[in-house]
Amino acid sequence: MLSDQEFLRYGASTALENVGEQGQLKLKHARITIIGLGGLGCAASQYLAATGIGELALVDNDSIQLSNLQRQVLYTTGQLKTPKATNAAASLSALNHEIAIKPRIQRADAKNIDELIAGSDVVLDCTDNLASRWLINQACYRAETAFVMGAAEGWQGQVMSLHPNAPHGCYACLYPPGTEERPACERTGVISPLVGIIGATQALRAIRIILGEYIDWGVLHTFDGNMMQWSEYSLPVSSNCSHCQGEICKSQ
Amino acid sequence: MQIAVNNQECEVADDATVSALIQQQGINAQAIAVAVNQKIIHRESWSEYHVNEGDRVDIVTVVAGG
Repeated sequence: MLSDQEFLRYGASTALENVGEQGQLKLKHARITIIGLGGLGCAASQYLAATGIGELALVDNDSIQLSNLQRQVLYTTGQLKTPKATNAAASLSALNHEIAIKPRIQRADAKNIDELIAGSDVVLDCTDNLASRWLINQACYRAETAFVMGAAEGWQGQVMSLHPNAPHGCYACLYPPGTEERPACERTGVISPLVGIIGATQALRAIRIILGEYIDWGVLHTFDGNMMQWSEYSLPVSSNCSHCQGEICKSQ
Repeated sequence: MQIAVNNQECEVADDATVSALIQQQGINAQAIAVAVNQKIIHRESWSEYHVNEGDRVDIVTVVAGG
């Protein structure tokens, strides 16, 4: 049961027909791991904390830089050169002390990724490079854990919800190893609210996954912030995929 | 024949493949995904996948930032 305080705090959610007290309890008992606490992670984690996700694991080994503050809205000028994970945790705890927040000052890598995502109901990929995205993709397929990929550069965003047990392609079916990303030093920047839109969309998706509501698994959603236009693309399984085509993959 | 590439009308050869189209557009093939009529076409199929009159082709640039 929810406490009186929780009923008051989450009343706007429980008022929704497909949430109610039972849905709010599902959110309360959920664990979501957010990998990457840059612009996307800041946005997603705020809405997930406010919504009352029972446990948030926050993974990032970076420290706050002045140039982050243009879009990474959990941090303040007074926190420069201190870890994102612990500062994010403190900020989110101040927002909602009813939930557990577990900061991990670690960079996700091949050695720790399985342990980082273990026990998660949903993983959010809020990272900023293809290598980390492939790492998370493979680990979530191994663990058969649903994950929501988000990405933002310039005025363009991408979001995709993937479930290893659903009949669709994976991140490496979309962008196979060998795909080239723009090096970080050559990126043309990112317009600040774009990371809010994409990160909040990842949070929305994660909430729907926890609630058991409909999700269009394996559909790539792209957002053009210049034209205010969303597009969507279905992603079939690639029979040659080095990530999902094996004994762990459910073929189409 | 006429197709649309990223919402722009485009004239291509009648037997054009996705690979030929990318070459014609002068795009770095390693930094994109391609969809035809809103379905992603896997990279290994580009050289044999023929586009048809009226197809909608979207070239989706890799976005990896966060």
